[in-house]
Amino acid sequence: MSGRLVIRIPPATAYAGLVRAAASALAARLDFTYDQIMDLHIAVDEICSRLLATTAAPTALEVVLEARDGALVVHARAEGSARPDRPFLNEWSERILRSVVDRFTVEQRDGSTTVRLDVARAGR
Amino acid sequence: MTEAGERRAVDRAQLKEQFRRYRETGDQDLRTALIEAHLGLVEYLARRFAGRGEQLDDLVQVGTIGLLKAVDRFEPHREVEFSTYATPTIVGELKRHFRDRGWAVRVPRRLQELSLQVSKVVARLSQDRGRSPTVAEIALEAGATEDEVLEALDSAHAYSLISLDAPATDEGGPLHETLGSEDEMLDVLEHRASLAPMLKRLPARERHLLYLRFFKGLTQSEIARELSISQMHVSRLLTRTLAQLRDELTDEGS
Repeated sequence: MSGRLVIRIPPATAYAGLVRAAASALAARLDFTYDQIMDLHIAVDEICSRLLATTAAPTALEVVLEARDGALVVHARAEGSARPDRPFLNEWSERILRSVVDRFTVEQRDGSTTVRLDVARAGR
Repeated sequence: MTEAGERRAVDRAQLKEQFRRYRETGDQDLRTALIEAHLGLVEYLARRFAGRGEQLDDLVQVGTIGLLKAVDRFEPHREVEFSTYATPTIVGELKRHFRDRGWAVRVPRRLQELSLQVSKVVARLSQDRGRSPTVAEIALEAGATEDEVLEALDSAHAYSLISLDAPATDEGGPLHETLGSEDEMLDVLEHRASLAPMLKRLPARERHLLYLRFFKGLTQSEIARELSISQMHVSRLLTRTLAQLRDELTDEGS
């Protein structure tokens, strides 16, 4: 199956729950396992909170969830400029993300940070 | 006024008089009588909190603490019935009890039961199949819809559900045998001045969970097996601990 969801939330971690719920709904359609869905929750929490903590006066968070050939791709971006004094990744968040998703990339685009996560359906 | 109405008015007047005398004299027999006269109110209120994983008897005891406070503080000259005055105190005591135990009163019972059931099903299916189950498989086994299962999984993030299937206290057991290995985690993070002390402050079990998941690379199901707790509980503990660390790190501006 394929599908694409675009979510825009106010700049507060309290709204990350909406992203988690959408991500797990899509992951369930992709036949992800319990372990993968719970890890996805951790990943979503981490990128939302890091984006908010490292963006100066963010106005919104935009998260795009895409189902592609048995994989879930998450793009997340905070609206606002990335703070030069606070890098998106620190050793801890890097370690967390590396443990819970297959692949992640962090890019600076037009002064704001964009994160991409990739998770494929577990082979059974 | 009807007969019953008259009787209630007399009762109310008597009650007020008893409270007035208790206030004046501090007579302990009178106090006991006043408490006993209102145990029905405590039980009535405690019943509203039953079915949230606590025995009614225990709840009545908790509510009675609220009643004792209300009896000692009630000012009989005020134009308010004692039961009206005591109700929020008793309810407050019951709510505090749930809060202290990590339960939030607002979590619907249906969701608590569903979470518990999903938790059991996840454990059973993981064991039977030797791998983590999908949502569709959990739903089929639990006799629930996929949406309901997702709701239960999402609820793992509600702090309020943390003590659903295991005590949130620190515990001994196999954990302590492997604690030495966590030095590796602390070493890696040592140069990150703020994080290592935060990790050291965590309860042993939470620190060990982080180590197993993010340093040893065990899956949540593998951790559940290793620590003999449910997968749902592992998810809750991980989520809570990560949120706690995140808050502390953000406070420090990193």
